[in-house]
Amino acid sequence: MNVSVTLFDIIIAAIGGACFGIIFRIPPRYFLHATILAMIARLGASIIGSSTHIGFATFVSTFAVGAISHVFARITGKPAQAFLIPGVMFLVPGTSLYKAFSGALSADYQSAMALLVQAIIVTASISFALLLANWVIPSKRTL
Amino acid sequence: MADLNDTAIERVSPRSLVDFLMATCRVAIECGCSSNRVELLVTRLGEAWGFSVDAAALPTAVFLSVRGRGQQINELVRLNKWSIDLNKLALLNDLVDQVEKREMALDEAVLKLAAINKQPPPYPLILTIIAGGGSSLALVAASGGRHQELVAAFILGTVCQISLGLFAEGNRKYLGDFFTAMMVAGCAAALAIVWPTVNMPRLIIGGLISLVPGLVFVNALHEVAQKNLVSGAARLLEAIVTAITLTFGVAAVLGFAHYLQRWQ
Repeated sequence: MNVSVTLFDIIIAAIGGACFGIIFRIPPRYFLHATILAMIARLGASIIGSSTHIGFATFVSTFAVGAISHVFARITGKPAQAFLIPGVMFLVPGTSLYKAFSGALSADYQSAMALLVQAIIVTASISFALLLANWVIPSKRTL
Repeated sequence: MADLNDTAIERVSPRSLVDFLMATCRVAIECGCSSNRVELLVTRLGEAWGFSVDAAALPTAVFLSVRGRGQQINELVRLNKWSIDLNKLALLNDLVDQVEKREMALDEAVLKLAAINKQPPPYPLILTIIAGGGSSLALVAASGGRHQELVAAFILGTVCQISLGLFAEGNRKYLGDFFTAMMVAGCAAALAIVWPTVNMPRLIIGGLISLVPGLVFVNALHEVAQKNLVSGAARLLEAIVTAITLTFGVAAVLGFAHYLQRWQ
């Protein structure tokens, strides 16, 4: 397994998590929690994705982020979603979805279809990982 | 805080509960709460106050039916805008927790909900704009961008946030997305002239990262997986329309740039 996570990757993951936290207006008190989760998501996907399929890497990373979000939610008494959303932003397949439509517009239907299927696989991985995380560590609160 | 006494709870009318639930649904959906959680929330709140509540939540509307004290009230809440505001969601969480434990009267809770709805963002505008730049920088760096591309991505991310603030007010969300995609693509094309070695498609995607509908797509499938088929389908359609809007915005600018190149 060829794993190479540099300090640069860690810093970039932290910057990304912090910025998504600000964009989605996470309460300032929980800013650090969201940054840590984004780092776990990004680095987890990089490390696991280097040797396995992107869908599996996304599934494992999202499950870890989902489970830790629920732990944070139990500790802080806030909704798990507040920690989860900035955390999974690095994993959601927005780029693939955009590239798929962009490819279709350029009449490159074959790569557009491949990207769309990849986006669906990654999305399904995230959704089922979140359901599993919610089942393993259920929320105490409704929101 | 002490619980409300039983007499006070028995005096609560279905109308005041409906008013509170409608306001709660509005704030929850507008903050980015998923439909199944909103439905579960209103059902639990109704039960806590001795009423039976059925709800069907969609991204664009919530249908409520409240029964109790010999009455039945059916209401529809129409929603025109929705986004993600985790600060308001956390405040709403605290409020509904108090209401569910019957530590706060419904009339007071409605007033507090209005205050939450008017809550200013926890971060100043300039910080949000810089964060837009930072998120674009992080995405481009994560996909292999270096040096000039990182600087360009930061500029495009800030342009995206400023453009969103200018154009995407109220119900003009898709129009705002279209203009923002045009602005980002135009700036990326200009930066590619200044720095010819940059990867322009990567920069455009990086610049538009806060708009690309990846999270909406995930939420859509998550809703479908929880048997909220109508809500999931609505969100899926939103993701597709957003992706098409962004693609057309970028294509319009790049097509125009291509036409100018040929004309010269």
